[in-house]
Amino acid sequence: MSKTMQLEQKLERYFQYDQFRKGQREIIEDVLQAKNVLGVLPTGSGKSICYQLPSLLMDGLTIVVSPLISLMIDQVKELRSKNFKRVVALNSLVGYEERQFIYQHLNQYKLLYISPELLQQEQFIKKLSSIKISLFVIDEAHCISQWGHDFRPDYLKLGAIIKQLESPPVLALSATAAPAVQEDIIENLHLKTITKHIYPMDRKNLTFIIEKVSTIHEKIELMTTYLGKHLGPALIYFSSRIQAENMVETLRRMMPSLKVAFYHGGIDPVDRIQIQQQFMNDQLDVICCTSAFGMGINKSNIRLIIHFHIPSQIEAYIQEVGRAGRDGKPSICLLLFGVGDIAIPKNIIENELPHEDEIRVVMQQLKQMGEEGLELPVRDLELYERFQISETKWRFLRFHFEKHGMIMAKNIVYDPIQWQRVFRQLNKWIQSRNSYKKQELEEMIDLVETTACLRETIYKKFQKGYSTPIFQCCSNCGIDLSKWAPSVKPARDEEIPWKDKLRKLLVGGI
Amino acid sequence: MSCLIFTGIILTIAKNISQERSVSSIYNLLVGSKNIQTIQDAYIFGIQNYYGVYKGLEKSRFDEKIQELTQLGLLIEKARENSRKFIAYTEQADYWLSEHQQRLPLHYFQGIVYEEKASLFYERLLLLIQTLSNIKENNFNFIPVIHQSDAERFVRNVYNQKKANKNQYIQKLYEELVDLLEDLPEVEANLFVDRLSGFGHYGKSIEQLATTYNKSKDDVILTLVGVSHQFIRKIESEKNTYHVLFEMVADLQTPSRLTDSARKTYELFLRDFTPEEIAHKRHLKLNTIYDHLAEIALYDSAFPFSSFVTETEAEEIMHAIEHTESYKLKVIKDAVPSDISFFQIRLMLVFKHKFREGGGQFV
Ligand SMILES: Nc1ncnc2c1ncn2[C@@H]1O[C@H](COP(=O)(O)OP(=O)(O)O)[C@@H](O)[C@H]1O
Ligand SMILES: [Mg+2]
Ligand SMILES: [Zn+2]
Repeated sequence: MSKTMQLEQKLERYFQYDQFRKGQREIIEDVLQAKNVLGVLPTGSGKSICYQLPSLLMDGLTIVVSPLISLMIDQVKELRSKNFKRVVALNSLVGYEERQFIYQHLNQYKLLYISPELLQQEQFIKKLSSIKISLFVIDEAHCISQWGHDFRPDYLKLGAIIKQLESPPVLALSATAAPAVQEDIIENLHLKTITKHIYPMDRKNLTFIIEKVSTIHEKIELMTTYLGKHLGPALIYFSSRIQAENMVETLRRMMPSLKVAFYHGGIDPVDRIQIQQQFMNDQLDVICCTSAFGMGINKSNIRLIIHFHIPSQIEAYIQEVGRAGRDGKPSICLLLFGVGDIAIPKNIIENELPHEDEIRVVMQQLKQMGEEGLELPVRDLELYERFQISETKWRFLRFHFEKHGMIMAKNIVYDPIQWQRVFRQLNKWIQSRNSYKKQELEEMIDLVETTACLRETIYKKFQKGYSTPIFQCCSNCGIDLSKWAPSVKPARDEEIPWKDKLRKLLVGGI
Repeated sequence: MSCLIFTGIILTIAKNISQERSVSSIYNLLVGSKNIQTIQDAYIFGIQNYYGVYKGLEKSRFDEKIQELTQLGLLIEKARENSRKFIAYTEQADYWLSEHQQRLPLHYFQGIVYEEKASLFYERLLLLIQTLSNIKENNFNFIPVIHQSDAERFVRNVYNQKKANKNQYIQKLYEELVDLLEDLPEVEANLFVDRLSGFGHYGKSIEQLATTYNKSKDDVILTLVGVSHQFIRKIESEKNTYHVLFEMVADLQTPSRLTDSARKTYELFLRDFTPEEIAHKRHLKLNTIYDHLAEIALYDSAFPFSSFVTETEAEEIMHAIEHTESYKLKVIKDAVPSDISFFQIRLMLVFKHKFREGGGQFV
């Protein structure tokens, strides 16, 4: 029997899929030969199988670094339902005792999902290096790249951790990684050789529409027209929290038959989960959100994604529209662009990383704390409130201060010459980051301005050509909306008296 | 959109502090600042029931609300002292309060005793209901709405202990909750239940509740907090009726409010070090140690006031407090001989509060 046949049988046996999807077998074969692999495949293409199957076929434990808790929970849930029991997830939700239990029984698992934050613990890394690691996987690997949208310092430390684990084979997976990002991933992981499997990322069931408007009223009118045709799961992206909130009120008034809510990084933690899960559960039709919403959302029947504001880069745009039509059915991506819209993302870019004077103040205060013999508090919150900068800015600075040995554990190590040098370096680096981001924004603006095919323009940075769309291509190629008839019914939430509701929740049946 | 509870609480506090403290002291009280001044004030002005009842309140929202009440003529802005703003309660506010008294569930709140307990209890309850509702349907993989280790530990323990007869436990929990909820006005009971998540169903967000019940978000949050306080009070006073629910609060202590740093000072103080020696040992300013001592004085029933204030000084201060009818340190300080310190005045304010009903011994 040929080797590929054997693999297909394993796929059938463990996952009940009768064949591999594009890219899966190629990646799995390389992984099984202990090669380092970089896989770039579009969202929904089935990247998880690329490590889930090998984990069962290889000797030892497969570690998967995953950026989102809800992603891990979803995956573990899906695996368990397929009778894959030797899997576990470690993240901040797992209580102390349970964590200890997992640490003690590591060798009983084949697959371990872990958040990058938890993987930083020295003690745990020691524990891991005492057992055989068959494969080290980095999911959403663009998070490693300084050019990725989600700057997370903990991801940048993965290279060092891989080394501590005696360099097991590495599999880095991402849905959006332009060539520059790919190079950055490889460099940050300190990998000498790597085999790349890059697949086209165009989605043939998406139709791209850009509408230029001159007033906000026009935007709202277009938005409600599309929502009116659709009446089912939809996402509307905004670049500010307050606008997302305000639009909910407008939509509830204008389209009372739709259930609408907002989601952004500032809402209460319980609400964050409740809103996201209401949407998954068809209790909600439309979410007005910021870019904080969506990673790991695996809802198959989203038919409409509206960008009320222009995203800051093509990668972000591709990720956000990628949440539409996961089931392969025709879906529409509508981008609304008004004349004054560029100011917002420009402003965001300029305020994302700390300014020169902010860095100066933080460094002065740190120096002073050091001189007073004070230790850094355990909770970061106390620090960034004291320095009056945002959490993101502080995490960014802390990462660099630690990297340069200015902060070691809880202590501040002051050296005037070195601190001066780091100060200059940081400012230079931030400037180059900001101009890079502005350039990315320019690409996005070019997309809005172009008269060429939008599909081609969107994907040209990543690949040559694209597959023929199954519905209509884009507004520049010409579209006829009368043909778009998604059949979905709006969400319903029955209103029953509290006692019945409570009985239904707890006792069941009424 | 009604915002009665929030308004009612702010006006009640403003009435009690009657210009003795700045506006931001109201904010500190509502969010439950651990600052000793806030806790002392809470007792001194008799507003401890509102301590920590609105922990997530943002400063900007608070300022906006104060401005709104000022525009409505319910509060008036008084003098500013070095950028600290003072406000006064108006006659109109008095009218407003008596007008709305009936509809304001202000008696629910018992901030100083329950603020911490109530939030733990509420988190436990949300997670417990969601978990039981799911495992009853044999669904062990759901996204929990609460990520707090206390609630997780609690629910895990309950699950392990009650697994064998979980249906009975669930039935009992249901009955006890119904019993509590039936005592509430219909709207409050509905609002409380609408927030709950369970099998195949996720509860409403604060904002969704606000829209459904035509209340401000502030009032939704305060209603949930108030109802939790009310629940705990009933559960604790009728342990035998609320068997299952009592287990949810039994291990929750009312916290000792000494800050960590004050506790270290306290340990040294108990070993008879003087304030100067403690400051030296701990590399802290003497004034910081005095702050700690004022904090300790509030909780330590055997605090030796007389080691810091002589009997004559105590009389001077008490007299000044009565004479000026003020709790403002600065005002009192101006009315006593100049060798009496702010620290001594603070201690006497604590003393006065602790032994308000007389009977206290100046030892
Ligand atoms: N070979 C296959 N045949 C059929 N379905 C598959 C196959 N591989 C993966 N899937 C399904 O595709 C969906 C998306 O897979 P996932 O790994 O989450 O995608 P990605 O990580 O690339 O976004 C999952 O529901 C998975 O079960
Ligand atoms: Mg994935
Ligand atoms: Zn086109």
